[in-house]
Amino acid sequence: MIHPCSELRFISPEVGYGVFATQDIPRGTFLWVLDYFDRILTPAEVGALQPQLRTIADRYSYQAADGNFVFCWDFGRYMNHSCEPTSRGVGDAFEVAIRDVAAGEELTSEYGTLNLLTPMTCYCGAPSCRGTIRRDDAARHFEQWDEQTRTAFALSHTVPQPLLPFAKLGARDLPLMDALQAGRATWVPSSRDFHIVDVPEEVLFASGHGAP
Amino acid sequence: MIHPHTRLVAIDSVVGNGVVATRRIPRGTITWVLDELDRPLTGTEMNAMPSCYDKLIDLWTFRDGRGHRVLCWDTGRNLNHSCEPNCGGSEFWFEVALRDIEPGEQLTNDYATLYMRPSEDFACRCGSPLCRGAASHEQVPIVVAAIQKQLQLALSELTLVPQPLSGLLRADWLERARELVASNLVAASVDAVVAVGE
Repeated sequence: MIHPCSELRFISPEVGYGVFATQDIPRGTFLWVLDYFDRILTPAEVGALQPQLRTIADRYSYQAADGNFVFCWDFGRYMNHSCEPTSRGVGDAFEVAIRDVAAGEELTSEYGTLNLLTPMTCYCGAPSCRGTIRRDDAARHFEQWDEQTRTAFALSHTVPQPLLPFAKLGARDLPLMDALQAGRATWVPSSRDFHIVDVPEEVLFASGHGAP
Repeated sequence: MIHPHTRLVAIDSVVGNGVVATRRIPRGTITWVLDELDRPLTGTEMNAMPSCYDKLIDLWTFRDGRGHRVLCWDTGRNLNHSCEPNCGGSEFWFEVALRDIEPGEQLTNDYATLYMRPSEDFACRCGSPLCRGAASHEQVPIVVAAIQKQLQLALSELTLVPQPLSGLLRADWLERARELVASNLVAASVDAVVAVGE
């Protein structure tokens, strides 16, 4: 579920849609949470999708750490990638704002932790743009990413969290929630640990998708 | 999946958003098909959700008459109610245009065909000359009987019009729909569901 202070806007034919903040949102806020309406698809289910639906699932779902694909039910699925994103994934169920977000700014995330099936050319325009986003980017960048996530999550108990009641927590999220309730900074799981090395065979097309 | 010649538009501050046709959609066109990205929520799944989901379930899902609340992934979930709907058939797992839908016109359902419960009666502002003023569960048998005739006609024209969603329609669903409208079983099944409270 995407943060309530956001809206969907059309950006361009090349980029498609994006999600934009309608109010200032402070660092530490959960900009998105995995919720009970989001559709979870196993690799076998993705592989068996009718072609029209497969195109949609490929564009708008991501592969979570447990190997299943997550297709968001709301416009959270339109969040674009940026190499300098507004939020990073923490645990299985949260995207935490790693900086203050101004009203009107696009909400972006890091696709390098979403187990992309194929490398993606990036046009984010950030000074540190990597040009191509790959399935195994977390293995190279996790130290910097984790530091940003840790710093942001340490603030999470100090800011309003309208999405928290809706979150569907996984096993890895429980220690995070304990820390949040206790109001203390904590260890956060490393983004490196969410990377799945192998592309599941079930989702490979005869052509088009290969190992990145 | 909703018909590709539609888009979501803001209607007004009372109704919120609605789905309008971007091109003419002739009678008999399949306007929506339940697909594998739509999510039929089971009772067990809904019971596992925190109570803050109750409102979301009411707002975004419809009953399929088999104990599910179906959450559409796309703008299929944004169809508004009309007392003179131009789409019907959700109980078949697909919907069909009951009459020609002109560009700019909203696609609508009669919510009384969606297994309404007594607690779900609402004041209607659809603006149709046939507006019942209040949509009530007590109108369900009459509404369903009226729509059934329109559905029968629309289904008979299925092969006469372009069907961009045909790749998603299962042959057995179509077969079942034709049997149901031919034998008045739609009204019977709705009556049964209303009588036992699902």
